[in-house]
Amino acid sequence: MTELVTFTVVGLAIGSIYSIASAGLVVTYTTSGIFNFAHGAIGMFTAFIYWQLRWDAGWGGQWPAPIAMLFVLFVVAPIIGIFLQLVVMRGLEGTNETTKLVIPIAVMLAFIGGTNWIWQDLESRIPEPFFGRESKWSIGDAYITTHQTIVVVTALLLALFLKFLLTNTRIGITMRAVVDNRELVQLNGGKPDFAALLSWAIGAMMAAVAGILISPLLGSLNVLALTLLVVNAYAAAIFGRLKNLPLTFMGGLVIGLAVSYWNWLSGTGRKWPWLSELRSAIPVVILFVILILLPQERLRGSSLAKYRESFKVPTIKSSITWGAIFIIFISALTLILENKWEFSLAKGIGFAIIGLSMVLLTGYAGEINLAPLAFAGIGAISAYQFDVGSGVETGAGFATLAVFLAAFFGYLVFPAFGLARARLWGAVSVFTIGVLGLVTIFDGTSGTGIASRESMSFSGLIVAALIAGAIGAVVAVPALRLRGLYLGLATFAFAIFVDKMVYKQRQTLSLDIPFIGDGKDVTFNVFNNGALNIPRPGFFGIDFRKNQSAMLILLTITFSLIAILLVILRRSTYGRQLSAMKDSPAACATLGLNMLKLKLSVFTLAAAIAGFGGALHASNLRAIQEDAPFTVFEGLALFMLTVVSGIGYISGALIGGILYGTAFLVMGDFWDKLANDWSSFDWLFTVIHDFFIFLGPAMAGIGLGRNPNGIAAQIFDGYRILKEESNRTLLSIGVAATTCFWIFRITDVIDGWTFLLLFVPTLLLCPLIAEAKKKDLETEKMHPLELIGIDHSYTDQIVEDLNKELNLPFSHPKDFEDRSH
Amino acid sequence: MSYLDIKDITVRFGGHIALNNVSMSVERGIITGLIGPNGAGKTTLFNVVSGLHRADEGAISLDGERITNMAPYKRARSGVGRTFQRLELFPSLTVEENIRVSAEIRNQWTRGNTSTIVRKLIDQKIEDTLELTGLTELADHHVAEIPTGKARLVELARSLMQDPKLILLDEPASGQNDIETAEFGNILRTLTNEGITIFLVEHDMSLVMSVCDHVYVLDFGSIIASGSTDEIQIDKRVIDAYLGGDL
Ligand SMILES: Nc1ncnc2c1ncn2[C@@H]1O[C@H](COP(=O)(O)OP(=O)(O)OP(=O)(O)O)[C@@H](O)[C@H]1O
Ligand SMILES: [Mg+2]
Repeated sequence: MTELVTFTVVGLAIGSIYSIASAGLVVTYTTSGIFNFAHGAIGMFTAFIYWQLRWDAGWGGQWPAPIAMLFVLFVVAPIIGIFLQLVVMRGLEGTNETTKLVIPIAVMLAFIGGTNWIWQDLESRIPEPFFGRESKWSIGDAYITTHQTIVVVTALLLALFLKFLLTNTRIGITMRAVVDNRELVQLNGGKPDFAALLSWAIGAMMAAVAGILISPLLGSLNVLALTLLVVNAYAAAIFGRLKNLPLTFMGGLVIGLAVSYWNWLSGTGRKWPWLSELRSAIPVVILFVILILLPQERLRGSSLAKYRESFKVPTIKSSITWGAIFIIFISALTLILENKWEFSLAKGIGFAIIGLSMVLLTGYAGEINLAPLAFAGIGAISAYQFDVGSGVETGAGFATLAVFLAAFFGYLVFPAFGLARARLWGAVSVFTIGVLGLVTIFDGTSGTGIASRESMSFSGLIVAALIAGAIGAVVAVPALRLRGLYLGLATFAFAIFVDKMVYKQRQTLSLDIPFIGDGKDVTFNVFNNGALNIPRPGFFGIDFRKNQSAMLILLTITFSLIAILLVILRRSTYGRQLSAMKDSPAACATLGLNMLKLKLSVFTLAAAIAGFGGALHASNLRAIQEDAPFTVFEGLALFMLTVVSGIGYISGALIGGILYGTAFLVMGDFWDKLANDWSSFDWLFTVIHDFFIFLGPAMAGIGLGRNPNGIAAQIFDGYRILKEESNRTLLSIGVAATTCFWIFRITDVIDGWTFLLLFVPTLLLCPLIAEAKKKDLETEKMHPLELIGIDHSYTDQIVEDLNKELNLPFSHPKDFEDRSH
Repeated sequence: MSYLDIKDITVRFGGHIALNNVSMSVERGIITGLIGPNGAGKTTLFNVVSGLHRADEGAISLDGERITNMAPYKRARSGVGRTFQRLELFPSLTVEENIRVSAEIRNQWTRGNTSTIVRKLIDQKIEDTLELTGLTELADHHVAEIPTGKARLVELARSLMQDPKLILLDEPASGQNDIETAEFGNILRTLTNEGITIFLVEHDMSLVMSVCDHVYVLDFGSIIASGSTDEIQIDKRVIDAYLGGDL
């Protein structure tokens, strides 16, 4: 009985905090239509500020609790909320769903980066509960702390306050109405802008309350853990369908109680070691389940007519040419780059390969996946388990496993390719036999156990892809009905689940699997001590262990091959159907397309690409840790940067990957070097360095996230112009200049940094100059309408433009000629 | 028996009743019109027939078979095609690709054959349909670049690639000028001659009156009149509903 009371109270307290946090989320969502991904991070950030004011012995510090609390709640939080709305979120109205998701993600990363920057030393920061740890009262034998009491009472008061605000005040009613129809509210004399500001201020305050109340339960303040704790509240908000506050509050309490009772039942995770981390994953499991059970909106079409995203698709031939150019280009670079830089670049390209999975899934098919790196991580772990780290003998057993996986993969992916039944089975068989062949040929390793496996085999990579694909399908099946934000949240939940349940898994599993392991038990060590050593590849007779150039070229070739494969897919029936599904699911349904098959197929395929890329990337890094490089936040950052770069393009994946894996680090290095060289400006360069390291990706996301086509489109448009006849001189100068720089570098006339400083601007300036030139020409060509026929001739183009403008019958100029004959 | 049978359909949006016990039947091989003021429930009825929206009450049968709870894609496969009032084209694709993807989807669920002969047949069919709808010149344009009037034709062409037995056309003439509308009327007659049943929602009365064989009038979610075009034009309730509109 005592225990029941204790755990119920603990659950109610945590649940109250979730309720407060999720209510804030709901308030901003109902008035702005934006799901504030940054909500958790705002709570985290304000909790740090509160700690600084209340508890730090140095700067600020030692304010009385009520004053610190009032300051954070009524000064800091509203400023954050209002600033966000004015500067960042207001422009998001009418943009597409991906943008609405990406910008808040960027804001979240900005808060995380900013907090890490400000509080970067490793000091342990321990916030105390209100009235100290000893302040408590008792019911029977059970104790209830004053902090818990305050938490529950606060939640109740806030619930009443919100209810009053939204139903009894004019501004509250406006807030609820804004999301339905902004113009209507304006016509009726409401103030939508003020309502939005208020809702963001309230949202930030609720996040702050939650962050401050929850932080003492954590022990010492930790940026990611605190953010994730508030993220748990998202499940409650979804429970209330992002609009119903009473349901949201109830959802928060249910989640809090579920976590607490689970702790009771499992002896805080000690009873079932495999599930020891489940307590921190329960909220996302609940989130996933609620999302699946929620009645779905009916099929919608492309909801916004004004939003036009136009991704140009290259021809297969040109993609092959570009692939070859890219490989040659990188190979030339390996001749002049130091090992360190080659490694950085390889990291970028590794992420770019994983990014290709997003191009397929989000760019082509319009399905959002916020867990790209979870699949990459699963790939890396599978490669480790089945190829390097476990007792699985390569050979017959391994081949059997590969065949099963390949057949399953074929069964999931190929039915959407539009083959006749006989051919379908043929394709699956050919694929399976192909995999069997590859696995047999490239079975280059010998011996068992970590010690004897010094390199990763190609078959390991294949198995990584197939397992990641299979798990992708397992996640996709329940989530098939979800779209947009809800699909994003479901995959986000999955990413957190993998973080908690897989990366933090310390158990070993010994199994007697038939055919595998020669009759001995096979031992799987899921995530050994928080790190897995994943060796470099050892196939094609090349030693990738010492040769970073070879590794870089291998990654480049892999990227190019998968990229070409994607272009081929996009240009096939399959790709057209993906585009159709992305553009208008409603139309697809009325054309008789069974989208479930297609979605399942593309999910599986994308997960497999991510798995393959993840295994290769991990092998380049030589190891993965529980907290890098495949965690949920890193996945969000990569997703965001890929979207910003142009998720509809192969080059978007490349730019996104290199930005994430290479560019910000290199820039950081650059300012670091300057700080060393010019020590009098040390502080300035250090600040710039820190800015790039901590805030670079987030700022790129916030700054560029609104262009639906991404950076890639702009760069490519520039380069396309560069190919035109009139720009031959410019092009030759550019090529000549870069070649010169390269020769200077290879002959050691200039050092690496100078090369970079000359090379990158040339690469970026040429298309910009070409574009500017073209713009000048175009403005010259534009004629004022009233002068047409007076001082300009009446060209076919003008006729066509006018017809279109005036909505006249669309007569092609050719028709005129035909009729006149 | 009529080809499409709509029986006692009721649809509510919250407290708002968009369709109130609506029954109508669409006869095989003719053009049936559905008119009514804005917000009368016409699009909602089409959504119910094509399966994009579940009716709260009532039943629908197609050629004698109950389809009330069938998934939209299955209804499409049993021969119901449609176009959308708010265009639902695929802007990532060109005009030709918009039509091709439809043909390919159909080919996939009928034969699933990808032999050269079938591909040639598809190519031929696409060419014919482009010709019929007068879109040949625009084939390689992205659909985002073409005028609305033409985009409506792309939707029609796309639907035709499914070999539908019944097409629901939701205001296909809006965005078209008079010449285009007249041509559109001709296309519709060609289609009925080929045996396709047409169910047409349209605000352009000249088109409705010139092509329809039978017309239903919907107002505030209820049918207020039905009959031949001549009967409709003199019906008092219809004139009232349109407040002396351009009938
Ligand atoms: N998804 C929805 N949610 C709520 N109400 C809706 C929804 N769709 C339609 N309605 C309402 O149902 C009624 C019928 O709408 P519908 O679009 O069917 O009319 P319509 O006859 O097609 O009008 P129009 O001539 O303008 O196209 C309208 O009052 C509309 O506001
Ligand atoms: Mg309508």
